[in-house]
Amino acid sequence: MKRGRLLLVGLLVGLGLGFLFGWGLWPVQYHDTTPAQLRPDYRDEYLRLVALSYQVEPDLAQARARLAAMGDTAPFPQLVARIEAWITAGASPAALEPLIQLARDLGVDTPVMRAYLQEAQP
Amino acid sequence: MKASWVWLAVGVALGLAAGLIYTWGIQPVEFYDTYPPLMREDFRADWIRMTALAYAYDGDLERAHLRLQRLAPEEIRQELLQTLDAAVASGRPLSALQRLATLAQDYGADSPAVRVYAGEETVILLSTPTRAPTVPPPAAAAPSPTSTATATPLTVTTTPTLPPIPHVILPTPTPLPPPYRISQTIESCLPEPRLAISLTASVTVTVRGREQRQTIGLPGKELWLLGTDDADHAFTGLRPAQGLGYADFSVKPEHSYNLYIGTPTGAPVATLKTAACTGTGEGDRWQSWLIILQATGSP
Repeated sequence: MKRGRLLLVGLLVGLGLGFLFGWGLWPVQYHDTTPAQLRPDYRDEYLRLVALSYQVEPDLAQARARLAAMGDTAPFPQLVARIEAWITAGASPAALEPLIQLARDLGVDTPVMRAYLQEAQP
Repeated sequence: MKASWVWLAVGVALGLAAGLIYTWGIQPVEFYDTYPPLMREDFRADWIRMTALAYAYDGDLERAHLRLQRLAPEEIRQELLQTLDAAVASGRPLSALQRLATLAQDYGADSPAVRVYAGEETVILLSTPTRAPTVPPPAAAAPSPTSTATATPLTVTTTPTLPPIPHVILPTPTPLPPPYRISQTIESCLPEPRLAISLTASVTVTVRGREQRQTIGLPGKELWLLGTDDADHAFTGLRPAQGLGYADFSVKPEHSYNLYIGTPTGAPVATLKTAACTGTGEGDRWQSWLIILQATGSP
């Protein structure tokens, strides 16, 4: 009986130490993450980079693959959400135009984007 | 008493093992807010590549540095060089190539393409001879600002209120010579027709106190080859082993081509037609050329 109690106490102590080491002191180190796991500000930056590099290398398949790497596939809700948020926030045309062009080339067109483009036209 | 401690140790060991299996294997800490250096190698490479292309587009160097923060410099250098080489091979605009090369150089990368596009050579202008609009008057001809009153009646006097008129010689306008002339054409017969260009300039250098004329290659010059149904362009200097002013083109048999330097407008530097070699006795071989062009002005 006493042995069983000692074993149980040992198990609990060991389990506690295991949690302490596994979650706290030596957690699993992630080195091979994907763009989908980036911090939100880096994800925004990633979207910008996809759009800007598309201006230099207009390879739509590659842009699509890059968006997919951050978990954004058709109808590209993350891209649309960021564009609309930046339009609302009054971002500069220089920052918005590459994103809007990419979205349109991907076949995405929303009323907010249409309204922005109509306003932007002289 | 001793047996009791053994049971306790066994319990701790089992518990520890179970805890680690659970925390490392079954329910590990999940990272949602990672940053670029933690991404997988191919994603990191793509991040660097996109940053370079974004810089080529917007020219925002500060932002490019921020985007590349905390990434390994060697990885950055390697990827920037690959991006530049790919951009050169794809015929991206010169301004984009220069920015890519500048960014690569900024991170200490070095390659022939970096030297060509980020070096001083890229700001060499096409050698267009210019003429000085005026010739300054000789010192003796300068009028005296003060009047003189001498006993000699033939002494020239000037009115102090009038400004002195410089002795101006207006050059007779003559058409400027073309910036390059063909210095040598070397013809050969190859299985596939090729056109190689070597842009050179003659410069004066001082060696041990003596001035000497030397012929140097001109890198970073854009060459255009317009055919009857196609067009191609290349930059000199991407094969330094062949010379800094070297570039070559694949051409089609039985086609006519016009060669331009800088922009594909105006009078071509050379016009060529690829034809079969005759009398070689080695099957189908085609005329190929190495044309050496020399800048007519100073580079």
